[in-house]
Amino acid sequence: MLLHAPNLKLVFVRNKIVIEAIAAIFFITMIISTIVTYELILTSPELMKGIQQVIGSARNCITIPPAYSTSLYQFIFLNNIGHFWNPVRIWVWIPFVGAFSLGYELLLNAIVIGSVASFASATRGAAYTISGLTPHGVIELPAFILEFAGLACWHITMTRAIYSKLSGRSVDRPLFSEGIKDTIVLSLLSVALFAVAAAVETYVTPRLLGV
Amino acid sequence: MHENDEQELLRRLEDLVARRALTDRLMGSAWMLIPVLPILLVIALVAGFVQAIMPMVPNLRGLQGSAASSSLLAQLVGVYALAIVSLYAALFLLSLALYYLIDRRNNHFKRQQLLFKTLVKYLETETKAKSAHPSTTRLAELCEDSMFDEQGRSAGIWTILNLFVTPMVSLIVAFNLTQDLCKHDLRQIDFQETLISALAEIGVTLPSSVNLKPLKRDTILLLLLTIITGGLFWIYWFHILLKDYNEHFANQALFEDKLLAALKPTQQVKKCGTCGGSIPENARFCPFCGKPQTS
Repeated sequence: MLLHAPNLKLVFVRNKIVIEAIAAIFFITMIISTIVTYELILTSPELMKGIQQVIGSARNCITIPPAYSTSLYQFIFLNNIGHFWNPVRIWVWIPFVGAFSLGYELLLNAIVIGSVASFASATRGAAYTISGLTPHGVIELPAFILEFAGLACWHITMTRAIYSKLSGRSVDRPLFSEGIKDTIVLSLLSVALFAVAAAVETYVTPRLLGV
Repeated sequence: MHENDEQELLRRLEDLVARRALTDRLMGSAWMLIPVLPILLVIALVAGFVQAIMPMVPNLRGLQGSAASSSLLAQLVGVYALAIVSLYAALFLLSLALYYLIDRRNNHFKRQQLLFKTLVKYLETETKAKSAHPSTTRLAELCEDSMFDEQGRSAGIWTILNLFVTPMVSLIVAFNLTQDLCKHDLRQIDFQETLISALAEIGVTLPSSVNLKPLKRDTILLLLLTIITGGLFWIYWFHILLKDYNEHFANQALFEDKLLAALKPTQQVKKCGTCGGSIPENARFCPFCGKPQTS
């Protein structure tokens, strides 16, 4: 019922400003991060070697399942959808206070994605980066944005209710239920998109990269 | 006696309307530089830091104790000092903007309350002379509510808090200013609607096309989006803070002009070619900006 087309359209209309703001900030930060990383790599090639060493040592700590395997699919999918259920980040759900952490996560993810794209392009070439990141990226980035928008919606709904109570007014019940429904719809949509993105990353991207 | 009272109240009304040139200050788009400035500064400082420091990074070990290491240290201190000075300058400008925003809100609300009060008195004088009507009671209630709810906020204290405690204070100020305007707008529209019907009952007709659409802003949404976007959404919030007040002042001015024209139909008014203020048709100089008027 929640995911019916007219209902979905309404959810997008109601949360237009939230989705647009998050998408705009995400892409602006990602572009700035890409440019700054590229400038860093150009001005100091030594730094690139250092980063390569860090990435190499990180790979030793995490075991990535082989390409085309179900375990790789599960690894990517669960890693993406479980991002905010991780004990380190779970406090992102605390109304209002968690919004600060959510902001940090949004900017951090945008910076990391921008830097990785720039770094991969500098080490492996633009064609490799585009074919390696674009196919799943075009699905995964909207999924990220919807995930963040869902969480933002949760904070807005809960803070609005708490603020009403603190001001001695009664909570606007229909608005509250609408906010919770919007949170669920946006989160479910992001999970669906993450499932598709993980499938593309597991079965399509390795083929394009010739793995 | 009644005639004298009416003339006195009309003169008072005209005086209050004329005062809007001082109280309802419009803030232009140049103020938008203030929220953008810190972001531009941070980008410029990061770029400057990268350009100055990164080429030396590979040779850092070889620099120990050399003249080049002193130069590197001097550059680092320079960038740090520049960052502190420029970010504090940006914070000072932001505090100045907050001062102006709070000050014009206070002045506008104060003038508005006096205007409400005078209008209520005018209607009471008129209804005593003609026939009593209940709209005046409603207007008096709204006037009292406004006096109680819309008290002045201390512009100085908020500015000092923002400058010396934390720039996060600007979010609280923006939150309050946005909420205040929404409540004020709603009350004002209620007042205008009641006033229009009250005036109609005593035979004064206000021309139509007065904007009676209340302003609605979700302050919680604005605050949370500013936090979630790491402060970048603040640019948009600051923009609507400027725009909403400017538009409110413009709508208010339009209503006041129409009201004055309806109450004093014999006096023709025109707009000043320089500042846009409402001035008598035969005025040779604008009483607000002092510029000479052509016929």
